[in-house]
Amino acid sequence: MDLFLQQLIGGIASGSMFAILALGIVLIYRSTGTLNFAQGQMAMFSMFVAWSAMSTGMGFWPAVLLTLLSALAMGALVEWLIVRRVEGTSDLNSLIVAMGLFLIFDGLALYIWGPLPKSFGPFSFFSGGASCVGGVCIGRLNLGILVVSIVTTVLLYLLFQCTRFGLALRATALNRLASRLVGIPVGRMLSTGWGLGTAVGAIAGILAAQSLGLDIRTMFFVVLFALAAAVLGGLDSPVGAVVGGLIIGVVKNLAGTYTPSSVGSIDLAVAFAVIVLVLMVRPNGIFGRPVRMRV
Amino acid sequence: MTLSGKAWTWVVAGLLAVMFLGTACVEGVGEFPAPVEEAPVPGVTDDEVVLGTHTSLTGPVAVYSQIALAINAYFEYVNETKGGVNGRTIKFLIEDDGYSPPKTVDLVRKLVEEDRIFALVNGFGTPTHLQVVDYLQENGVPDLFVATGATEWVKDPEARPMVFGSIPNYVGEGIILGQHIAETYPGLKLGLMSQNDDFGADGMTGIRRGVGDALDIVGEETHEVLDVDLASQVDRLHAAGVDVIAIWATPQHFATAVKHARLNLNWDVPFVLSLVSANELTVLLAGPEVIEGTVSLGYLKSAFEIDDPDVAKHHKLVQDYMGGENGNTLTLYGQYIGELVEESLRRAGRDLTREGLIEAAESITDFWCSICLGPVNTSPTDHDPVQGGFLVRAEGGRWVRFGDLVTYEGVLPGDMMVEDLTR
Repeated sequence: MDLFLQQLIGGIASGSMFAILALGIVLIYRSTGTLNFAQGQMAMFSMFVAWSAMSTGMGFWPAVLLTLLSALAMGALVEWLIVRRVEGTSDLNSLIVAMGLFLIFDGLALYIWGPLPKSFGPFSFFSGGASCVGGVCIGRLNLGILVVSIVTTVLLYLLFQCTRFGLALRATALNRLASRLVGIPVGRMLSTGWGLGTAVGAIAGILAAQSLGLDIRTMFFVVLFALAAAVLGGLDSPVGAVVGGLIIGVVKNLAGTYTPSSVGSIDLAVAFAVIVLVLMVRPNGIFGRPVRMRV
Repeated sequence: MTLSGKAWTWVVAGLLAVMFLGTACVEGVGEFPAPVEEAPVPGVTDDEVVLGTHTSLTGPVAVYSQIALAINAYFEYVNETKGGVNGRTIKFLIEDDGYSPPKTVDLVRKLVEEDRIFALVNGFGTPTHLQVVDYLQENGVPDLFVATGATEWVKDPEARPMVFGSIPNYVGEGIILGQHIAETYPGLKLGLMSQNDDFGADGMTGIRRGVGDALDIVGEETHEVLDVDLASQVDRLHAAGVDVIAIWATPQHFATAVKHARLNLNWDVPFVLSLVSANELTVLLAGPEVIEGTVSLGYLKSAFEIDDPDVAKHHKLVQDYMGGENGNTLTLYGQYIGELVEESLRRAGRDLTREGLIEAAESITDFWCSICLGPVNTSPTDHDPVQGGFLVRAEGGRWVRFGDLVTYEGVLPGDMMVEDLTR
């Protein structure tokens, strides 16, 4: 039982990391319909920005703020400069652009910061001893990740559901032509979608760095799970991204524990098998809306 | 004008006849004494020898690019200060395969067939180099000092005479660390963690042989390269009541395991780890506090030993020839490879042939590179240059040596047992 609870806590913590990155992917997908493979490398880039800021002597929270603002600008700029050029052409084009972005940010980070990992956390908010009840422990590291994830999700929810700005963002995602007709600056909303998605990705990156450390490959595999989470939850559903991330985190942990050890490391296979099963029943993901086209 | 089929036949026949006569004439010239020309040795001229490597300048493990760059820096230093080796300067071609095996195949073929390198040096990565090791054998290209500790390179020198290892192979390393575990924690419970491939399997083979029946193995966990962290594996060993963990993982993975144990579980279980993770990368990723007390193996001097004149010299070399700030474990390893290659070339003499280089590389006896902690010995049946090392323990973010030099000189990994260790 202790092990079960411990694995559950660990699964939720790593799952919330996937969830936040998946949230960024969904925000971008809703904005321009691009499945942003570069999400992880863009987040990694933001982590290095935060590291650079802190190495000039800046404190952790100011550096985070600066990083989020720069990520916002970076995402918006990418949409405005690059993604908009291929908008409305084929899905294949936007896919290739996303691949290109991956290589660009990967190469840029290597060029600017070099290949060595950087010392980045765990910061005081995330470090300190664990609190244990019986055999079950929750450490400051996991607790910090959970708290930041929840706060991020709640803030985004409020932004989308309770502000005019959020309404405009949602309207743009839903129907561009109608939005333009009622006076919403659609282009600016698309850029904002990318900016928000990138900033949320930066938060995921900073969380990931607390447990994984900061190096160019930190997000390489995290983004795979985040993409899977986004697909599982439904690519256009922010709630789905969060639920999907948590499911993947927990299933991955429990599968490793409750399958016979003679099969080796089977947890990844089980996690992805669950995704395939869910998608067989609900092809648009758990919370995804089926795409219907009026002809 | 158009020619009929028959006419074409005549034209072609005529041309052939002229060509035949032409060759006959040229051969006739051969009556004069022609200079005796041996087949030229690829990559060797009067004043230069060309070597090449494949490594990861980009991609997920780009951090290891430091090794090839340090080897190059050392060769430049040798060229400038000693005029090269035996009167030939060394030219080093570095190709970037991004840790992608198919790319390695293309690039190594290019190095051998287009750039005509004399020898391949320190090809990086087990999955990548596995794709080219037999190609190099078949083409008789020396494949010196591969940059991994897989037993593949050193287990059968007769089957693969061209290839040499460079770091203590993982089985040998595992036996030394296993013996340390058996002596330090007898009667306790051991947990194993390893990457689910040859790297992890070789290490665990060694650990088991080294531990023998001194400890109960109560948990065995494996992980994939794809895994983000090793938290759930550590959770399971924690629940199994493990007293000490032996782990074979990359710095990234090991960092997550030790962080999870210390920060999320308040668990101060001792970790014994492969030297692959006992370096600055792990310190940067995990932080110096959480790795405190972890034990591994060292076979080269460390970058922090700045009072040692040879280490100080290394830092200077990195600054002067690599444009870097300071050396680290990877650049030190690069210099060790550079010195090994220099020694092999020196032994091969002025009349360089590929066979001669292999003979030279397998006849090294009691060679101490400037930063080595033990002697390098090779023979036709032993292509494993370094066999042994010192135990090291993390203190304040540095792995510090303790105990005596442990070696298993000349024993192949297949038969090696704990009895082969000598101090």
